[in-house]
Amino acid sequence: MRDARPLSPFPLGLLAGFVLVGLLAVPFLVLALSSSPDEFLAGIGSPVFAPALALSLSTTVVSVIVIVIAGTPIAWWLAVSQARIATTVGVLVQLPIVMPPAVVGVALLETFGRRGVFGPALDAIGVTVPFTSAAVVIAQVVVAAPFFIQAAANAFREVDPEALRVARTLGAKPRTAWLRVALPMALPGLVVGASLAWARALGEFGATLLFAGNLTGRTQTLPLAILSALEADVDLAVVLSLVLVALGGLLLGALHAAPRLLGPTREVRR
Amino acid sequence: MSWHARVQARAGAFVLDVDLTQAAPVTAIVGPNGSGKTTLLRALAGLVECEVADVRIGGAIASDSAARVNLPTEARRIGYVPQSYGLFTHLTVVENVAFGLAYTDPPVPRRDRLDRAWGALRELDCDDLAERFPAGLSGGECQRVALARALVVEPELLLLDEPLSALDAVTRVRVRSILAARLSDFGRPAIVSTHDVRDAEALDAHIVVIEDGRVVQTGSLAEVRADPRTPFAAAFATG
Repeated sequence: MRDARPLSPFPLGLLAGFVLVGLLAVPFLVLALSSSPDEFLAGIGSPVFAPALALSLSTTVVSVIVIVIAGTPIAWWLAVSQARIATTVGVLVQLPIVMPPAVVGVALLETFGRRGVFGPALDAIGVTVPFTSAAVVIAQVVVAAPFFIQAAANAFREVDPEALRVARTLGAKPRTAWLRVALPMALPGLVVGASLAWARALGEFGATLLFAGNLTGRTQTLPLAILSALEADVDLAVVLSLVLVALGGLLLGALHAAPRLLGPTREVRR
Repeated sequence: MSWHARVQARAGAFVLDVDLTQAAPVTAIVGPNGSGKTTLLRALAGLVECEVADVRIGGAIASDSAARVNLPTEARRIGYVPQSYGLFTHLTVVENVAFGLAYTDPPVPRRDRLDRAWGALRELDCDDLAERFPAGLSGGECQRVALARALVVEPELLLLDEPLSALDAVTRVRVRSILAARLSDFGRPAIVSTHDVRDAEALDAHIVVIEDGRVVQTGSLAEVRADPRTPFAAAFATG
């Protein structure tokens, strides 16, 4: 049965909406069509491409692993804690979402840079963070973690606390109950959160540029390689962009498939 | 086999303070919303912190405040069916029912668990649901699955929190008779919280009326009917 509501009470508004959707999608279509197969092959053969792709993939994988391992327990805590401090921590976690990436970059430099707060202490034990691959990972973790934590906490809030209580009465110790009930029930949401975090880490640009620099093979990820290529070779920039578009497309597909593949919605909800 | 519970628990301004001993196979805890029915069931299961908790289940001490004994929930051999059913949404119905068989003492061998779970579902006439997921079940189906899951591990005491209140009138009548039949086969005590005198009647239950966290009356339904101590008890007993 179809609802009797109108498709839009404001037809002109809907038209404006479709223009907006065009603005969102058309540039990517143009991008996809603006490179010939030869140009594409030449682009991925360029000496800039392989190191940037390798660095992007390795740093984002490390970042997402760090985010999931450290973010899952805090997301659970945020979901179940009734302490007032949980609200404060929840707000702190959202901070990087509203901060411009450039600000995050400056803040990281002021904190871990040579002349930053922890700079001398790190120097004393022979550790330099800025302008290393570690700095790339730190920048990605800071900007991407909130997306995972937020999604994971929401997924954990959806877990019926009674299911955990039942698991306990059925003989499962608290840790087992969490691992066998709470975690798998929230898993689709966790996967969505990890995918969002990965996408955000993959696209990370501003904080990385300021905190880690743009050094080929060490800190030059794909987005930074696009910046360098634009100055010399626009075709190469287009090819690099296409690779990121493809990775983004894969992620979007995964995001939509995850709840269906992992969730209990294999059955129609009544 | 029997149960006894002396429980004092506090949640904000609310205080639960009861002292109860089993008087019939099935006990119906009745009382207005917020009177402490759910808290009492959870206290028996060791799921809430209590100031005083002396709980015996099936002859074993589950909790003894004076002796500082307090068995964790998983060691109490309780069957618990919450009002929201608490089904594991990531598992099929038969996997839900098989869940507890991994933790019995000794654990049921892995290859036998699903067979046992199928059997438990068959006893409640819902083995046709075995391979479905909870998200696709109706309320009455969820209730029977949750009951099968609680019974399959052969608990010493079964706790049912308003088992029929979320069901529509027709389903309620059907599930009530299934529940009554299954509980009389079960052969161990059950405590059922309810608002509905017909539940107490069908289960032939001993009535415990709780108001504001305290027991205000106990007795058979006939006794409560003949001499209700509070307006709530009177309203309950007359349906």
